[in-house]
Amino acid sequence: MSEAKRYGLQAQPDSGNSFLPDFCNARTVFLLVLSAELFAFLLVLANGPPFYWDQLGTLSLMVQLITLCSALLLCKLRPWLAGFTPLRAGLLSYVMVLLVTLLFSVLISMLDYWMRSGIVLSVPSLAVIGRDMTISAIVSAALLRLLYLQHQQRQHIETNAEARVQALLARMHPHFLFNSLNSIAALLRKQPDKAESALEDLSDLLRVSLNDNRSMRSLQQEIQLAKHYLDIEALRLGDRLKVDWSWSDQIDMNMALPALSLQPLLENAVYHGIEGLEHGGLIKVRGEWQDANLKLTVENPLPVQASASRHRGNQMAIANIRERLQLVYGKDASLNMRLDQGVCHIELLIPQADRPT
Amino acid sequence: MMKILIVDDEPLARERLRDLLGQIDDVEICGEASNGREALQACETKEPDVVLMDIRMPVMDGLEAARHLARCEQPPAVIFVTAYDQHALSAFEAHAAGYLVKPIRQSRLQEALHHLPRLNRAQLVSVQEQASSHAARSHLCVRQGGRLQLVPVDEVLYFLAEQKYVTACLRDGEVLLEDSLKALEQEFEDSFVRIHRNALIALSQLAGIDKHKSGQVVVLLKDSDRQLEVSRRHVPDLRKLLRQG
Repeated sequence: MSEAKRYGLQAQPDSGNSFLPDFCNARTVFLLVLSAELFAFLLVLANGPPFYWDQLGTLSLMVQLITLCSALLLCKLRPWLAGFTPLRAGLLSYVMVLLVTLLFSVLISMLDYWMRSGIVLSVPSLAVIGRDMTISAIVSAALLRLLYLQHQQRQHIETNAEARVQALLARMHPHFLFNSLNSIAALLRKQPDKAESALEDLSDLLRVSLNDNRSMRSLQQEIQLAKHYLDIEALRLGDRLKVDWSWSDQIDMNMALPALSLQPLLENAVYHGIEGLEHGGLIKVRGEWQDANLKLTVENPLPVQASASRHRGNQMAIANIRERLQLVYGKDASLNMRLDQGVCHIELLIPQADRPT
Repeated sequence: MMKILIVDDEPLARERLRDLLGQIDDVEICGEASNGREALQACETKEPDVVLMDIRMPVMDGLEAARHLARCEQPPAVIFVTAYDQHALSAFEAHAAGYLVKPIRQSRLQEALHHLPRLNRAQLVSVQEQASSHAARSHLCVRQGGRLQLVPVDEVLYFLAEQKYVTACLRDGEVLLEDSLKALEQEFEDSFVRIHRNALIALSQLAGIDKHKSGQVVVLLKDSDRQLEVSRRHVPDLRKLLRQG
């Protein structure tokens, strides 16, 4: 399964700005023919009783000719119409359908007259043409309006879905970014070496964060990135930040996981935990293998007076990572947080079986 | 000479401020502090003219420290420094208060020192409310015998209104406060509960309730033998709290 599909994002067929469907599409044409036939049936039905089959025949012929010719025109002129604003394109299509109607209305009434009286060239009745044009004007206006609304709704749904995905993408916390830049500014003069390596770490983080992080990375890379992140935070926090890593030998360091699965957990531990503690604390990161799952645990102490609003922020960050994991793994991955005596425990389970490639 | 106190929990951030201030004439760094609490203590002894105050700090944040400072007779001017804090910044804008964003520019720092902002206490409370949606202090600031004393709110067992004063009772001793019981009730609604016209107790201290033979209901505290009277209309609320654990 491709990554895009896993995230529920399929490449949209290029529909341009136009709200008109693709009239060259077989399915669209079929639906159009079907609706046209139903419409003809409706007209004859409304005219009766009794029900005249021959009337249905003529009417069907006319309605289908108008429909198919309009569809053909709209299909061929689609690239040209795409150059206009939706309103103009809509109006042009409307005029086109009306012209097609006029053409066939004249032709068919002449044909009808010829079949009945044998006179080939006749002047068609204005009343008949007027009737045909009015019906066509009303029906095609309603149809265009419907297509337009449908298009709007679809666009609305698409924007919402895209916004949702964008909101979920892990992004660098501005608080972290500006604090890091401040540290680097402080180091530049006296410790240029440290400033340089901090800039390199920050660049790596920025690169992954700015990339479309719907990509997969190896566990090895994720750990490396998390370490870069902690190196930067260590500049600011000094001795207050202590980290203890432990990895089980069973873990396949090449297993793939969504980009930025680990670093945000550590950022969370620093932002909501260590930063608020006067003497800092120890973050414990553990990786184990449990029933074909990678189990990552992150533990960090919390400030005593962790306010309600701070706690909410903490849960939001976790919920964001959880949703991103669900987009990739469905119910197979889990992320749980519990607070226990001033310590925040986070447990992340990622399945390795059926791993995305 | 302008005396300046630098307050930031990050050593590197303090170093940068030192570097920048070193290039400005007529300023003197009179001290440094790494959180709001230390800043208040430093202000007592060093009497700075200006405090460069970081906002996010452990123990006591910069906004709260500024609020306590505003109670002084001659409060120093406070210039807030922050890396990124959207809510606080819009609050400062609203009060035309001076603030600096990290990384700080030399020219901005100089400019801020020339136009010193002075926010009064009410403005600071409003900034704090906008910045963090609640403005409960973490410490009570009291003056005893001319000395500044900071009492962490989570060490208070209960507040008791007696005659003119409100007393905050701690495990070891008590302090007199200037605040009214009503104001305290509003400020600490998340952590304290009213049990009587004259008393608020810490939720974490609530151990149980008892009924005397006289019919008077009293509340039992975890860390004190004192039994505080509960007025009848607060009994149902307390029972509910006890059931919830």
